[in-house]
Amino acid sequence: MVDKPINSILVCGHGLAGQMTLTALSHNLPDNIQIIYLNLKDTQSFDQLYGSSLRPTAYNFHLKLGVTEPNLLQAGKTCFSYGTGYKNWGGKSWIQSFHLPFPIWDKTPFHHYLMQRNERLEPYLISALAAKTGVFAHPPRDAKSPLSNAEYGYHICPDDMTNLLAHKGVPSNVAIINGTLKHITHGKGNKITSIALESGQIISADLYIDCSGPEAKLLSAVGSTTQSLQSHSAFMNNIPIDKLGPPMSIVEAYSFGWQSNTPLNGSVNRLTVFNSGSESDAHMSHGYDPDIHLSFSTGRRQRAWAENCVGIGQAATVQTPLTAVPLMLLHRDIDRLLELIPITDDMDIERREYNQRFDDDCENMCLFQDALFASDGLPTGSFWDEIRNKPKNPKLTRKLTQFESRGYLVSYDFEGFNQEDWTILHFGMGRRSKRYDLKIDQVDQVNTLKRLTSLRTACETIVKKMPPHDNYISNYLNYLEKRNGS
Amino acid sequence: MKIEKICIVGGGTAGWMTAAGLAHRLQNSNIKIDLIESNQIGTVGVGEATLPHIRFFNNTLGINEASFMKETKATFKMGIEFCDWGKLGDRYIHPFGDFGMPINGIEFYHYWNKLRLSGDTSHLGEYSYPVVAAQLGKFRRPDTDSSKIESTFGYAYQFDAGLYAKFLRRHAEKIGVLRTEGKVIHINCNNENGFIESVKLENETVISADLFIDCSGFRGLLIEQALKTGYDDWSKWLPCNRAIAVACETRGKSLPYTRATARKSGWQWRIPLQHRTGNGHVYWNEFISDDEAAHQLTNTLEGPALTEPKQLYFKTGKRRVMWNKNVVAIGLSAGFLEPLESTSIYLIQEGITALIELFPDKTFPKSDMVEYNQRMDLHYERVRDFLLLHYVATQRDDSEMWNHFRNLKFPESLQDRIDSWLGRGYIARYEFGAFLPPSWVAVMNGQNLNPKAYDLRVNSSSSLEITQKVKSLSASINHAVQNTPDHQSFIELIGASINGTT
Repeated sequence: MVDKPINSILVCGHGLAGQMTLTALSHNLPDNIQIIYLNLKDTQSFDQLYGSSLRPTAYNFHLKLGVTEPNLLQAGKTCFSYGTGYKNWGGKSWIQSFHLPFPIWDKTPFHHYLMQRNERLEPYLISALAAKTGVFAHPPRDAKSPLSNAEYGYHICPDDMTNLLAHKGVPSNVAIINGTLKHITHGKGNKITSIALESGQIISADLYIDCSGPEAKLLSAVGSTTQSLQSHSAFMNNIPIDKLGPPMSIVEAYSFGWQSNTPLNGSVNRLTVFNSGSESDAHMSHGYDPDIHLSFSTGRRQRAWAENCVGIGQAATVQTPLTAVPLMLLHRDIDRLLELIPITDDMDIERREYNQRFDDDCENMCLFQDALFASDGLPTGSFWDEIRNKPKNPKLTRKLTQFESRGYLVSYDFEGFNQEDWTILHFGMGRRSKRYDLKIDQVDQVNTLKRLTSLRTACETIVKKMPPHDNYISNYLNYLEKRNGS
Repeated sequence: MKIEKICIVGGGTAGWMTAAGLAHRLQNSNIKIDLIESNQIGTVGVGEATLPHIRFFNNTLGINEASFMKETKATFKMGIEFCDWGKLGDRYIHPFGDFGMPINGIEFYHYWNKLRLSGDTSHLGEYSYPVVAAQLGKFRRPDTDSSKIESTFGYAYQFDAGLYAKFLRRHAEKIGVLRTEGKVIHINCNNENGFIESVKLENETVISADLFIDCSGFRGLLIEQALKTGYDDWSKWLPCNRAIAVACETRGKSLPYTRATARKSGWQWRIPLQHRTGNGHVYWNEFISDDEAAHQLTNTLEGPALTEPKQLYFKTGKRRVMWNKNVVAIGLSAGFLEPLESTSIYLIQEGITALIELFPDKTFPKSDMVEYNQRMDLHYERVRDFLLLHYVATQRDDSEMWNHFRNLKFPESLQDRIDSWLGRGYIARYEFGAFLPPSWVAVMNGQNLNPKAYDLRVNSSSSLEITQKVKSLSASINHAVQNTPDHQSFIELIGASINGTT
């Protein structure tokens, strides 16, 4: 039997994952492939669980969707981000800033110099200092300037991003249908052959993309079961503010769970994550009657691609937005899908590769999130005990063992978080190694001190000259407005 | 409890690379490095051809490229030409670089796959600057402007490994390595923990150390003979187990690439240096006798032989652990994967780099050893799969060896990789390893494993647009190659010629 070429793709979902997948497919696939977007109605949105923090890598990803930085900044409440400040996290507070790369002196990674002198990393991170001071500026092209190492991402409101993408316009090969899913029909080998809507309309396609959120309406119908980890609840509010805050979000640990406050242009997004038994404590700390109250389970589908159905975003995995992991995974899902759009209805190769990469991405990215919980100083209580009792991934054990033993940074293929991220995390959480690189004792200590002082002073001097984040944003938006108007 | 003394057992390429690398890193540390080398024991001189990573090693040591090339009689290397691997009469170059440049963020080979399936008969190599330049015997260093086609490659060297060892020996001795001439006749281990405490030489000299590096070659004097570490035999996948090597006079221009020609029971290498050409025949003794192998080699030399044929025996595989107790095996004592892709020196370099990054103290924490072994295993396994690809991606049926490979069941990871390529031109990627997607594409395409379909994203550009971009790429490559100097001229230009005065 001859394999049938893929002619049509149905994206079934709503919100950020649905709109982002639709945009990515319509922007990157040829127009002879028919794309149908079934915009599901009456479906609860869990988009707030994608979080509001985008890492610097989002810049290139957005370009694939035809979204530039000005587009993003002009969409709703977007602002810049230098990272996340973790407060009272296992008794430690630090800024998990974006920074690339660290200096390498005498072919020895920078952190070994600090370990020898038992110094903190933060005074040498211009992005952290700027975040703390509440200032922002785009990095200059001159690589000699310490500011060129200050990578930046964005704070976004997922709904703004969804709206931005929804208003981009659709090419002629895209059809959008608003409806409610009623029934899924299966064919040979449990493949989906069509779906029926409440309206009576029947839609069929060669490939089905499930962006329906944690419920995974299609993926669950083809037998991909959930592997749940923890059940949580979350409150969310967008609290109006007059003045834009610093370019960093703050995450704080509490006995009931954790709370993040992410500055946006015009509001602060407050998200409080807790276990159901601690609702009253969480509510008190949250300080507002929640605009959104979610109950959810973190975990992942056993297979992200089953039969002729691919789960994207929360349909494949649900993670808490303690870090940028949920959005990173969403972006990776879409990238992976684009690279592996099946050519025919025999999707064995694509399915196998996709699932392998999904497994690796999920595992590797979650290592970073899990590393945040590898601390003795975190509170007790059901939220934390549940996490503590989870078996530690051997890959994370390897990373922690090597860093604590000798400051060596183990890396896996395409982790998502780079060595600088891990170094900042280890230092922030108070991890120090028993040994440091042998070379450190051979270098001239006076010279090292001079170099360190010079770097620290340069960072401080530049930060003093940088404009406040809110001024920078308003000037930038004014500039964009003028440019667009002229 | 810092290490105070290191003893490297064995000279040769591995020994002196390790000595130079460690001595450079440990300068001013008061760590004493001894290297024991015996003139009675010949060195194998692993690989005369290298991968681009060698440049990083040399740069780290502060080695001047021209002086190094002059002293080792080196030529530049832009890749390897494989002849008769897919089928008799085939030839292709596996370049150190990319094919074309991405179009709309999608790798060029996807576009080429579409053209090929539409009837275009051009070869993928025509869209690779290093391939076209190498074929015409031209060379230049890569351009630093990443928008230029001349930036899309890396380069390595082809050199006399014996001279490289001597060159590094001088360098290492200058920075404190103490060479001791002698043959190890006894190894003294601690009764309680089995760690090696000292080695005794034929002249009764006893050399003790905290850390021993075994660079003694195939025999693994410390790692195997003393510590009985064990060996993972990979003969079932890479069964060639013998080689015979001979140097001959060079005929014609010295080319900036190595050649590997498949034979009925193995394959033959040709490595052009400035003063001679290195040749060797790697074979599986099940299907050819040593005499016949030598005969085949000497009959196909391009010029008169300059040396007596040298016979080598090996078993492909790797040491079960490369770091055991206080012994780290580097080079042939750690493992051997035949030199088809010039990986021997690369694996030595990886061993040295890992050892530097995981340099132990006298307590020898288990975590250092475990990490080293995990890291090195990954490198060896990834190289193994890539080497095996050359043998199994074949349509040859003219000998028992090729029939064996066509029917071989190979590791699932490799099978999946081949299936993904054949099915849709997709290359499964990894970040850490010697061979990235363009290398896999080069070999699979070069050996006639061609996808039956192409990535649909390329259809976002019209056929006309693709044709125009491809034509433009081809023109820019040809233009760039025209302006690239002749390989030999470039060697002279930078003062690296053995005949030059500078």
